[in-house]
Amino acid sequence: MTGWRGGVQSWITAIFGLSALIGPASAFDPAIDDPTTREIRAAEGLANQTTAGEVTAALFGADHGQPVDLSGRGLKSLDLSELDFKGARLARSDVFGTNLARSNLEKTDLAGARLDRTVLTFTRFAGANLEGATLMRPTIYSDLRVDWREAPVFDSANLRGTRLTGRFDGSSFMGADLSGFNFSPHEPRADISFLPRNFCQGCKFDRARLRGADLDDAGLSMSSFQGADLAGARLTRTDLSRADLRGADLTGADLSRADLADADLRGVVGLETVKGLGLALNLERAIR
Amino acid sequence: MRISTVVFHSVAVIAAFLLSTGILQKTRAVDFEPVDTALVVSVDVSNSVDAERYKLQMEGIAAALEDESVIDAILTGPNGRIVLSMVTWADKPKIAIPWTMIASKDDALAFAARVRKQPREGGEFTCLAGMLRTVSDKVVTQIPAKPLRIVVDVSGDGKDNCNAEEPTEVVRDELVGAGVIINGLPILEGGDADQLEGWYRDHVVGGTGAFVLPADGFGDFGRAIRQKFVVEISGLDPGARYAGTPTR
Repeated sequence: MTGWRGGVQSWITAIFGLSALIGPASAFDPAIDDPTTREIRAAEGLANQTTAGEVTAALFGADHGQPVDLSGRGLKSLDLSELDFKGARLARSDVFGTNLARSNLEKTDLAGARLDRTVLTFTRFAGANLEGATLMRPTIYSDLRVDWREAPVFDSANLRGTRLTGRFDGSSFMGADLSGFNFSPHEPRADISFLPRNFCQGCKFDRARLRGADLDDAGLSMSSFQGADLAGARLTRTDLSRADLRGADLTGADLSRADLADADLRGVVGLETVKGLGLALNLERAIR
Repeated sequence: MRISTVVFHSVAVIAAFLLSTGILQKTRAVDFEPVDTALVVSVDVSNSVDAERYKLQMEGIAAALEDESVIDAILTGPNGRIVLSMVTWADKPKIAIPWTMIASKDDALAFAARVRKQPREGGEFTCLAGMLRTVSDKVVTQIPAKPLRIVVDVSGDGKDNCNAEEPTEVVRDELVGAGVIINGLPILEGGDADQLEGWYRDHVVGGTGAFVLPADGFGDFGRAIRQKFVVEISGLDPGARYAGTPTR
């Protein structure tokens, strides 16, 4: 309601100055919406930066049936923890470095958003649209004990073509659409040519769609893929030790040098079509 | 300018901003109840506040809410009700008890019981500016009522030692600019005791009728917070009751 940055004077300035200067959210041009361009825009101060107070007040005054529209806005380095986003529209927003711990982002639209370096402890994304978003190196845990129970939940979310890097151990992607999902250490951008291995140990991918996903070199031990669609997925060098792949569809997937120690392959569909199975490590220890 | 007028104008300006920038497409009709005061009780739980001192503070707040003079002040205002929340702060602030309507003696007693049950979650530093930032961004923005005045009640036994990104007085001025009153209850015990009242006066308190009411150590906290509640809730002129306590 009140308690706003800069007080009344600043608000008047904001209304007649800032909003006229940078224009409404709809001015964001999807034609130039690629991560590099977004970063340049942010660096040049052109992003439509919004304060935590503005976001909180807008969400507080909103109903679930009439979501707040924060599309294309600059939401960098804010404390937006413990907020109910009530299905807000955040497509193409720049959320770099923002604290979203314990926030409810279920059914929000985050398509194309930049969520790199965010804090995602206990964050809920179930049913959200994250298509084409980036989540590079977020902070998942509150301390070095790495308690998997603190990991975010992406159940039934749309993560088609998303780019994740970092450690996501314990996260849940059950029923999510991860087609074309990129969890590899290969970064095409010139400024980040190599990244360390990514981890999602003990993650839940049951019934998820991972068709064509790139999971090269990922650490996925102890993860569950029951009934998941991994057709055509790149699982080269992937650590799948103790993973539960019962009933998963691996048609045309590439398992070259993947570690299958104690992996449960019972009921796997299309195992005969898998590429590089003979090159997989510890195949003899897999449960078949 | 009357405080209620400032609050009204602030709300109108903010709503206009949100609509002009497209953040708020449509909002629900404002159906909140009018209350006399929206009071944020913010309590220092930093390293210097050990278990005994923490208990003295919580017990002091709880006992104040059970005090007949405080309950009378709540129930005899123009609207006969307030909304109350509690924030604890050290390295980071925590909304320990979210906004709660106090419209009866039972409500006040129930809130007091919740205060007594609050677990101690301290920290090393005294990050007062960070607390005010959270109050500004997360607490004052979510008041589930239409208050005549908004009061932030800051108590602590030390200066901000957090090397905050923004100085305490900058956030204080933002809150004051939006019509919020910030009162101080410095606890004069420990290393900062000699300068703390003056520091609170210069860096923390602000707003129409704002005042500093020091406690002479943690043992005096209960007396001080009770007096402070009566003044804050009733909207009395603190200068008349507490001559010599400076205001901004």
